[in-house]
Amino acid sequence: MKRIFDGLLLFIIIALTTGCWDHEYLKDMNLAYSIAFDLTKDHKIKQTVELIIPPETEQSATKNEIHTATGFSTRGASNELRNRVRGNMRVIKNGVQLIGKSLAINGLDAPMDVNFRDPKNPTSNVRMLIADKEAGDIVNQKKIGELKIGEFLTSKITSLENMSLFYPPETMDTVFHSLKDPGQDFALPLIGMEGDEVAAKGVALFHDQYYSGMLDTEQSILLVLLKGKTGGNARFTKTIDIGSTDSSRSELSYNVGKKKIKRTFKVNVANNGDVHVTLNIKLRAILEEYTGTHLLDDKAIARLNQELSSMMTSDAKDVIRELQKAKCDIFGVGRKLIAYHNPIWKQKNWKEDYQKVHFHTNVQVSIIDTGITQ
Amino acid sequence: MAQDEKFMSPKQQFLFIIQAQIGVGVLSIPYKLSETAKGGGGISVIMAGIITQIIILMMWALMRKFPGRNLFQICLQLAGPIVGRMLIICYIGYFLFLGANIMLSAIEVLSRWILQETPKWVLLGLFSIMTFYLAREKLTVLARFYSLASGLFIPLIIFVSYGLTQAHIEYMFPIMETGFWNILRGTKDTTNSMYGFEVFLIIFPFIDASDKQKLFIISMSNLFVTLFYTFVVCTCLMVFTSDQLRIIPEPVIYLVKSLNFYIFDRADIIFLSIWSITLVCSIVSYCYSASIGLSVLFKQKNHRSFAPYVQIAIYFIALLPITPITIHHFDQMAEFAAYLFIATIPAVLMIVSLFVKRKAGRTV
Repeated sequence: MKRIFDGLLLFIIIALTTGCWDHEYLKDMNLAYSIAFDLTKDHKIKQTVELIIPPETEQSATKNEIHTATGFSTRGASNELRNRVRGNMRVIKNGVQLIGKSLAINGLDAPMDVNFRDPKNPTSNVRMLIADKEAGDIVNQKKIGELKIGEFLTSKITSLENMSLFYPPETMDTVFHSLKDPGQDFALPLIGMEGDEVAAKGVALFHDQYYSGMLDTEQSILLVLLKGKTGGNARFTKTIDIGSTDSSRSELSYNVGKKKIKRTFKVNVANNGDVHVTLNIKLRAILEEYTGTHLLDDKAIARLNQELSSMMTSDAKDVIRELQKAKCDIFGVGRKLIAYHNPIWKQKNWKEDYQKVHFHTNVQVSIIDTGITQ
Repeated sequence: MAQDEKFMSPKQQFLFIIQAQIGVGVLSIPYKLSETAKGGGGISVIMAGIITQIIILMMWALMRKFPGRNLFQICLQLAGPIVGRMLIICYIGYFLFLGANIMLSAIEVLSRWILQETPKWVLLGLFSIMTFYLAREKLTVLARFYSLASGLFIPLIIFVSYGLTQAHIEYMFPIMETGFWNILRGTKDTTNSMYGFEVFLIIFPFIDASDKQKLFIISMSNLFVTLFYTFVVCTCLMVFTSDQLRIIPEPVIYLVKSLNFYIFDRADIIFLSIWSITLVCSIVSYCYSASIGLSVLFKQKNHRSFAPYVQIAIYFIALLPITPITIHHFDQMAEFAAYLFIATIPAVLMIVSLFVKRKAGRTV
């Protein structure tokens, strides 16, 4: 009797616990590696997806397919897409999400809601990109050189981060924080097509959830430095007039991303309620190229330092002017006000008042290394 | 001694109370606090810990007057056979209800985050089987299992600590933004995550320690739980902005999900799998208490034969509410039941015991 009971119990346990309900077979899935969203003219969402197709024989490589569908919302477009692809489309391996400029201008909250709401959607390691025209066009390239578009974009972002064009990495989660923070805005890398190539165009600035402006590549690097961050390399090339005797201008390339950046960031409120921000950075540069004939002795370097400092300070002021024009509070001045000057914050209408913030910016460059030649 | 139970050591008591206390509530404290205390959430939790400590002191004062007796036997002794029995039935009902409530909240979280397709009755069934096997055992078995399961706190704490890498301390400021009154209101929301320490009323006679030691140890458990909660709440407050917390009901899991572990995504699945074991411990404590209550009620020596009935009752109570509104009502009922059964009735019993002290001393 006991044996029968045990056998029955075993059978029930095996029957009940194998597989359960929430199982998904990898072989049944079509994995999306990169997704692009655009806004069509009739205000629908157009979704372009790169699907990875497993190889038919074991030795051959995987292939990718591009599919497009439109719908009233992100999920709506996905559902439409599911009608067209075979099998089950899954975004669990998604690594890059591209958003077209037209959609970004209309705000990110609505198209990204599904990413945050459905726990199956990955967020912690998904990078976001803004396309300067149609995002779908970029995914439609299908392959760039030997790489599939999704892999290409992922490695593209990594190299952009390494060049300090864009740093620290913004994932979908960090964007979520900024979207829901009244005192902090964000920026995302901006890419676009140049002929057949996908090139970085700089960064797209956001105000609240809306695209509101952009910086070019050199300004983007400066923005990263102003945040006090560096992705490992931050190269600038400047034309500079160093010699007092000959008026020949020379090209100078230097890298400020190798060394730690000293940054002071202070938010003060004056008695009349004006907000003053002191933002200073000290950069240590490694000279990588110098085409001039003048010998770089101590005196010349001191002059170079001075020259570069004033050039970069004025560049930095341009960057901040652009930021304020775009109402993009990327340094989190508002957050500082919320935290430390809360009564003042409550009086402010930050959308308007951010543009009235007085920035006091200074960039100091000192060359610490000239390579193996003087 | 009413039953042939062995004693548990003070160390086991420490872990036992912790396991019983830490439940599903902490996963959503930061969300509940986002409406009231906001940045001052940490203070709310500490104050809830202090209130818990006061209740613990009161319970201890009651228990030490009746050495070798648990809550149910005290009820019988103080309130007489008829009222005492009714009290015991009420308490059994309370334990069943709270056990069911925790189980329900647990599977709600699990089905929302991981097992979306799995029907509710299956999840409840699996939880019931787990708790049933533990709840019918002796207290020492429970204590050993709880001690073993306590090792799992280490990965849990590591997971949450890893979230500190994303923390911005400014999100928490200004701490007193909403004022003292709202922080107090937040305390009320936090207190119901502290429940579980009332198993102290049942296990008190079975601890191998002096009365003072017992008080010291349970206070230490409470301190640990309060600090753990404060840590979790402060981490969440530093990682999420208040606008985010308003729309994320389970910020702790969301925090773990948003962490980047590079080699795997969805760390929340691992987190919840570990967390489930802690939840089972909480449920088991209530099942065990209810079974003990039944055994006292029916004057049986062993609670083992009552465990299946308790389990079936909990299973069906947890199956009742379906819509989010009924689940919310369920939560509220549990809250008020706890006020009555954890604070009010033990207080009344204690006051009564002051008057019948001599009589009690004679019968012991």
